[in-house]
Amino acid sequence: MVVTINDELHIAEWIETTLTAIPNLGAIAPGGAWLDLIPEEIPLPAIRFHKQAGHDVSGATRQSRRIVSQYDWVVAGVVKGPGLLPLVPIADAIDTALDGMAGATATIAVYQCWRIQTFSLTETGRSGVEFRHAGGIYRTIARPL
Amino acid sequence: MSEIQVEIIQNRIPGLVVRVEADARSAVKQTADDIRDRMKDLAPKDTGEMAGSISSDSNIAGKEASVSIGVDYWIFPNYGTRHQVAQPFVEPAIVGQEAGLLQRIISAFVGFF
Repeated sequence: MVVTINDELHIAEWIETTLTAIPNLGAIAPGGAWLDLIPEEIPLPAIRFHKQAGHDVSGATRQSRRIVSQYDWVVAGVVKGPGLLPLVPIADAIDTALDGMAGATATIAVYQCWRIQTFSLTETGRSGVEFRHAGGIYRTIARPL
Repeated sequence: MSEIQVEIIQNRIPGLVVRVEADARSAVKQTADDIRDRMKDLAPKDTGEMAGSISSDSNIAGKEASVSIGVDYWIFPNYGTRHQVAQPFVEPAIVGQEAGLLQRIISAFVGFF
C-alpha cells in the first residue's frame, strides 16, 4: 500500500527532534530549535531551520508513484550582536547532529542527511551587526514508513 | 590473417560537432532564461524592485550563462532573518533545471540523426 503523507512536515519533525536531543543544547542554544522562525519572546542564542528547496522523486514509468522526497534545509544557530564565538559551538553541534546521519520517526524514514554546504548570514543595522546566523544547508532523502 | 579496409564515404562528424555546439549554446541560454523567469515568479514582491532586477545573460561565446539579481538584500527574503520567515526563490528556481538542460542537449544530438 502506498503511504501518502506530507513528507516535508514529517522530515521537519525528525530534524527538530534530532536538534532538540543535542546533549549540551541548553548551554549553547538555550532558546531551543524552531521551524521557520524563532518566536520573538524566545531569547537568543537559538536554532532555526526551514526547507530551502527540494522535490519529489517519482517513478520513471509511473509518475504518480512517489519513491522518495529530496529536500534541502537551512539549519542555523542565531546569536544577537556581532560576536562570533557563541556561534561556533552551535554550528558545530548542528553538524554533528545532522551530517551523515539517518533516522526515523513513527511515520517517516530519513535514509540520508548530509551537509551540502555551510551557511552564514549577517544582519546589520545602524548600530552595526545586529544578528549573526551560522550553520549549514543539509539535504535529506526520505520515504514514508 | 584477415584484413579489413574501411572507406569513409560521408564524414558527418564535423557537422555533428557544429550542430551540437550551436544547440548547446541555445540550450544553455534557454535554461538561464527559464531560471530567470521562474525566479521572477517566485520572488516575494512588495515594490517589485527585487523581482524586476533579476536578469539573465550569456557569454564566453554562448557556452556560459548567468542569472543575476540586481539588489544586494535578496539574501534576506531568500534565507530568512531573525524577524522574517524565509521565502526561498533562488534555489527553487534552479531545482529541476539541470535535467532540462541535459535533455535539450540530448535532443539536439538525437535530432541530428
